[in-house]
Amino acid sequence: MIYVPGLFIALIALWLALSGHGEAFMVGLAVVSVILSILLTMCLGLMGREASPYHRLVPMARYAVWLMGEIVKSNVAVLRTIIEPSARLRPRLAALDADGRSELATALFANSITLTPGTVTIEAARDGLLVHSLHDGADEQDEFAPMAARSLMAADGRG
Amino acid sequence: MAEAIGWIGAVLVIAAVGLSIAGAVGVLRFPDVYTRIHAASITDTGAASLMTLGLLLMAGFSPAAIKLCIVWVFIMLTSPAAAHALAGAAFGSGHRPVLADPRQPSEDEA
Amino acid sequence: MSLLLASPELELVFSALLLTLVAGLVVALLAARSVLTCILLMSAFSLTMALWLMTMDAPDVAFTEASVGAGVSTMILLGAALSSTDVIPSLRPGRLWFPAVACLAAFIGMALIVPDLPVFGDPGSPPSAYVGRLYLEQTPHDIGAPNVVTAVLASYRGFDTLGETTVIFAAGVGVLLLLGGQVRSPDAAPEDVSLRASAGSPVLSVAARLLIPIICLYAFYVLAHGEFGAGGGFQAGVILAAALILHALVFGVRETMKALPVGVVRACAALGVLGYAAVGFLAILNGGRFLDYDALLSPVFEAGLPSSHLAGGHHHWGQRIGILAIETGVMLAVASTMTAIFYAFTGRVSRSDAAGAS
Repeated sequence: MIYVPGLFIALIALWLALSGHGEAFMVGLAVVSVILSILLTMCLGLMGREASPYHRLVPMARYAVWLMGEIVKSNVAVLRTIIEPSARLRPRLAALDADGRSELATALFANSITLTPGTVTIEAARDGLLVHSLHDGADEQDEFAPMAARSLMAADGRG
Repeated sequence: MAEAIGWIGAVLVIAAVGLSIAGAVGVLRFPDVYTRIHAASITDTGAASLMTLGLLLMAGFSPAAIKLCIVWVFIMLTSPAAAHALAGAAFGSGHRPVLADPRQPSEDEA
Repeated sequence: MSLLLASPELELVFSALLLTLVAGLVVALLAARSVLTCILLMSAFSLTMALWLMTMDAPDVAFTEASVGAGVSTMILLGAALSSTDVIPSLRPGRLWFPAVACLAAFIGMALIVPDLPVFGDPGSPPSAYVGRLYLEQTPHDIGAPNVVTAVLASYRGFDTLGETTVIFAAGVGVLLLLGGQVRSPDAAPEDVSLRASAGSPVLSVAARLLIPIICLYAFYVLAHGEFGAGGGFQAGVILAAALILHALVFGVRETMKALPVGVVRACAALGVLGYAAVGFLAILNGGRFLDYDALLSPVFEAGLPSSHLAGGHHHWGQRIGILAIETGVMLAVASTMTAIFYAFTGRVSRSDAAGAS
C-alpha cells in the first residue's frame, strides 16, 4: 500500500504534462482516471515496488545521465564495426553474477546492458545474467563492474 | 535564432536517418541473430535519441516538446525489454550464437 | 523552416514514398509463406497506412488504424497463431488463376471510377458541400467540442455510433460462439500464451509492472481528450485491451483470468453497449429525444455550472457530459470485447491439449 501515493503522484504528473488543460472539469477527470488506473493495477496484482519505483527517481535520473554517455560510446564502437570492412567480430557469451539484487535492480542492470549497443542480455534471472557481446574484452566481470555497481546504487540505494 | 536552431534540428534528424541506415546495413552484414540485435540497437538508441533531439529543437518550447520527451523515455524503457525478449526467445528455441572462441562453453553444455 | 516542411510538394513526395512502401509491403505479403511473417507484415502495413492517413490530415482515423490495425489485432492474431498449434503453419500457394482474374477485374473497375472522384479536399464536392459544411459551421454553436470529428461521431450521429458499438459487440459474440462460448474456470486456462522462452525473466515482469498502470492511464487520457484532439472511446478501449493482453503475455493468461474472470469481461462488454443506450433513454426520460444530450441536465442545474471555456452557448455542459458518457460506454464495450476474443483464442489450447492428453 505504501507504493500507492507514489504511483498516484507520478500518474497525475504524467497526465498534466500530456494534457495541458487546466480547467477543473479536466483535472477532476484526471483524478478519477488515475484512481481507476490504480484500482485496475491492484486488481491485476501488480502493485508493488516495480509498478511504482518513482521514489527512486532522482538516483535513477543521475544513473540515466551516466548511462547516456556509455550508450554514445558503444554506439560509436558498433558503428565502426559496421562501417569498417576489415573489422572482425569476436562474439562472446558471458555469465554475470547478479546475486543479492532486487528484481528492480536486476531489470535495470539487464536493460542497461541491452541498451548499450554491442551487448545484449539473453537470459535474466534473480541470481545471474547471460550476456552476449560483440567484442570480447579483458575480463567479463570487470568490464561490467561499473554498470553493475551504479545500477545497484540507482535502484536499491546501496553499492 | 529560432530559425537557426530549427536547421540544427533538421541536421540532427538527417544524422539520425544516417544512423538508421547504418543499423540496417549492420543487420544485413552480421552473421547471426544476436550480432544482428547489436546492430539494430543502434537504431533503437542512437538514431531514436538523435531523432527526438532534432525534433525537440525544431519544436521549440511547446506542448509537443514535452510529449517528445515522454516518447523518448518510453522508447528507452521498452526497446531493451523487447530486444531481451527477442534474444531470449531465440536462445530458448535453440539458436546457438556464433562465438569467437568455439571452445567457450555455452549455457547448456556447461 | 516550418513553412518548408508544410509545403504541399513535400507532402506529395512523402505521400508517394509511403504509398510505394505500402505497395512493397503488399508484394512482400503475397510472397510470404509463413503465417508469422504475414502477421508482422500486416502490422507494418497498418502502421504505414496510419502514417499516410496523417499526411491526409485525418489524425482520428490514423490513430484508430495504428491502435487497432497495427496494435491489438496483431496481438490477437499472434496469440491465435501461437496457441492454435505448436508448429507455426506455413502457406502453400494454391491455384492462382481465379483470384488473379478477380483481383484484376476489381482493379480495372476501381481504376475506371477514379476520374469521377472529387479532388482531395475539394470544398465543392458533395461530401464537404452540404451536411459536412453544416457540421463544420454548426459544431461550435451546437456542441462546443473543438474536435469536430468527435462532435459528429458522438453527438450528431450518436445513433450510428451506437450501431457501430453494437456491431463490435455482436462480432465479439460471433467469435465466442464459433470458438466455443462456455465460461471456463481460471484453472482450466492454459499457461501457453505467454512468452515461454523468457518466462520468469525479471526484465519482462518489471517492464510490464511499470508500463501497465501507465498504459491504463493513457487509455483514460485518450478517452477524456477525444473532445479536443484525436482520440475517443474506440482507441481508448483498444489501448486498455492492449494493457490486459500485455499482462496475459508476460504473466500468463491464467493470471489475467484470475484477476478479470471470463464472465466479468463478457458482462462488461454487454454493459458498455447497455450504458450507451441508457444515456439515450435518460434523455427521453428528461423530455428530450433519444441521445439528445441537451436534455440530460436540467436547465436550472446547468445554469449553476461554471461556463466552460469551450462553450459559447448555454447548453454545452449536457453535450460534454453526454459525449463523455457514451464514449465511456464505447471504451468499456471495445476493451471487453477485445479481451474476451483474446481469452477465447487462448482458451482453445486447453481443449486440444485435453484431447491430446486423453
